Amino acid sequence: MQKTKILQNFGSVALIIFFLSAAESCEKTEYDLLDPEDAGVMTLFNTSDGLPGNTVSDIQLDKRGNLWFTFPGQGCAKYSNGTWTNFVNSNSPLLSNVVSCLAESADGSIIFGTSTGLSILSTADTWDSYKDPVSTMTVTAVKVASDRSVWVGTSDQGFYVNKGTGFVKTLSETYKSINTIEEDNLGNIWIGTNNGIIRWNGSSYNYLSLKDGLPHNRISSLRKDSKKRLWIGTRGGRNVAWVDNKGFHNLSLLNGRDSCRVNDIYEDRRGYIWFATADDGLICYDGILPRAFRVSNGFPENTIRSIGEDANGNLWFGLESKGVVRYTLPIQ
Amino acid sequence: MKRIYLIISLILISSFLSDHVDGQKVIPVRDKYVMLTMPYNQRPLNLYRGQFQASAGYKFAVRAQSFDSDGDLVHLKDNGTGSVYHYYFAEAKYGVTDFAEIGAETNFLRRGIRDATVTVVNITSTAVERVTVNKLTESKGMGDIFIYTSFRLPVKYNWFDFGIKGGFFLPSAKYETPEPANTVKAVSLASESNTTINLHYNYKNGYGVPVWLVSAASKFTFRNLSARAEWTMRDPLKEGQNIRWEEALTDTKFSYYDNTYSYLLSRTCTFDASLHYQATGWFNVGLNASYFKTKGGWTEYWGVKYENPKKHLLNLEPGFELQISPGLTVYQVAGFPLTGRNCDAPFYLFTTIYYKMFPFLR
Repeated sequence: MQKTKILQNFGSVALIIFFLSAAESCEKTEYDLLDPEDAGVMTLFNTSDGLPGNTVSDIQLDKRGNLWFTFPGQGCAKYSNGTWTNFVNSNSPLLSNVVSCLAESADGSIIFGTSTGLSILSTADTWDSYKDPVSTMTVTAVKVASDRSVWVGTSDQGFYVNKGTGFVKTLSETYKSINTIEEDNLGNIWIGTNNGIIRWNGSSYNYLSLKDGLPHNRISSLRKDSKKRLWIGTRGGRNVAWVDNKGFHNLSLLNGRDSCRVNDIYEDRRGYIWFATADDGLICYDGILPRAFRVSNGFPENTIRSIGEDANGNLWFGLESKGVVRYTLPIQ
Repeated sequence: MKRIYLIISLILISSFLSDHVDGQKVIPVRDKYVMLTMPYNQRPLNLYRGQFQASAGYKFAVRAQSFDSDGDLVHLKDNGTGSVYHYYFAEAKYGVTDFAEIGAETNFLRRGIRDATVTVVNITSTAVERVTVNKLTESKGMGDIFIYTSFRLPVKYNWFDFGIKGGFFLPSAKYETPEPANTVKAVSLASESNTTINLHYNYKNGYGVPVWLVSAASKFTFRNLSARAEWTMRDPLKEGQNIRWEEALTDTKFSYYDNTYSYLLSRTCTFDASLHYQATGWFNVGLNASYFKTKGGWTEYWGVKYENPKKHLLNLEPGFELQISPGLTVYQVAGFPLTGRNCDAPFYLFTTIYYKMFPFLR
């Protein structure tokens, strides 16, 4: 009798173990999961999908998760929840349809750099603008720094800075053509020009050129990364370069030419650095070896103008003439 | 975690109680030599009361092919990533009664996957650059410790048996992925440069989180023929965390940066069905079909959670059991993958030596 009881005891313990375990497995949190089959997939969007144009000069994500695009000659567009909203000067107070760049200000407004000045779209969907009262302000770069100051580069009028009291213009004949502006991890502002780099350290400007270690004087792209490096792309340099606390370093993009023209640089969530080039395709540097995406291996175009990222970590590549490509990062 | 302690306590209490079971007297004569030499087709699923068994196994697997997400066979040798791996296994179990046993097992894995060498030659009008990348991905280390208890029908085994088993895999070591050990060698001569980059990634063995397991098995015998079927399910108790390494090469020096990510292991179900023929009292041959399937789970990649790819694999395993002495038995199977999806499909040889004894029976 006692033996039977103990055997029953064993049975009960086994059942308890089984049901406790089953109950534990039922307590799991539910998540919205992505399909692994979607990883590593490239999707092309162009005017047939609702884009205002097929040349994309800049891509930026705002704090609300909207992705903004600029189209030189065709205005700008917002991509949100799968829908494109286009802005041109016929349906909005945009100063010009030649929009080359954009940035989000500290208050969430979107600042568009156009061929005649700045157009600003507030979070309340109201428009404002800024034009140089004296000369034509053809904007080529906009950067909102961590101290909320707004830096604006132009094609032939130097650069403008607004530190909260209005724009102040700085023009020097040597550095009048600005191509790109970036802030490094220390808060220094780097201004890429056709004659080297102007660096603002908060109190003074200093100047960097070929003799200081730059691959070329025509600076086309500057981008900081998560490893406290500032990447420098040029139009004409043999290599790209980065600068860290040990100085300048060069990286060959292995493009088979004596020079390369880098339009944009971007770091993805994996820490890989992407280079949008003219004619050499899209080049991804994983920290070890640069690998190219070109027409020859299935990419739509060999000239890429811009790179951005959406809230889900997908990369967006703005092409020269064929629209924009969305790339979901591979998971292997 | 409290629940794990509770379940472990229950297992220990049940083991303690079972020590007080005064035998079921279902085997009238407890001759240890009879029990130790009992052929496969006459043995129950569990050990006999008082029987101790220690086993050690070695699996040698040739990873020459895998199944992709469409279920198509990929010949890894063709793309230069074929490899072998070595898996060592140890288990100890004890028959607490004729119907209950407790046990523990662990393993050690060593696997290296060498990718095909990539060489890029960049020729311009002024320079030649050659970059060669060799990549070795190594998984090595002690596996989790699996502790379990199992129960079978409280009757003497004649022709049918049924048992259940439950237990936990407990992490035995730090699961965190160690830093890569990459090296670079660069030689520059005038306008020519040669750079060789040797990538060496290291991974650990094990789940990284506690995993529970339940299984049910049954066995039928008809004269010299036996059939056995076993269903097993394992599932993680909680989400885990691990790190991925980012690397940056500056001149000839690598810098590493770690990124934490979360994961939830998939639930794995395994079904085994085997047929055995007892050729003589000391030799048994068998053919097992082993099928596993995974479901659920996710892995975080750079802030986004992806569902784990669903895997399944069917292996055919011919094998034999050879009794060398009353205490010593050898069991060997060869595994041939037949069909699968999203997983490696290695051919393997798995050899296990069992040592059995009755430490307290004279």
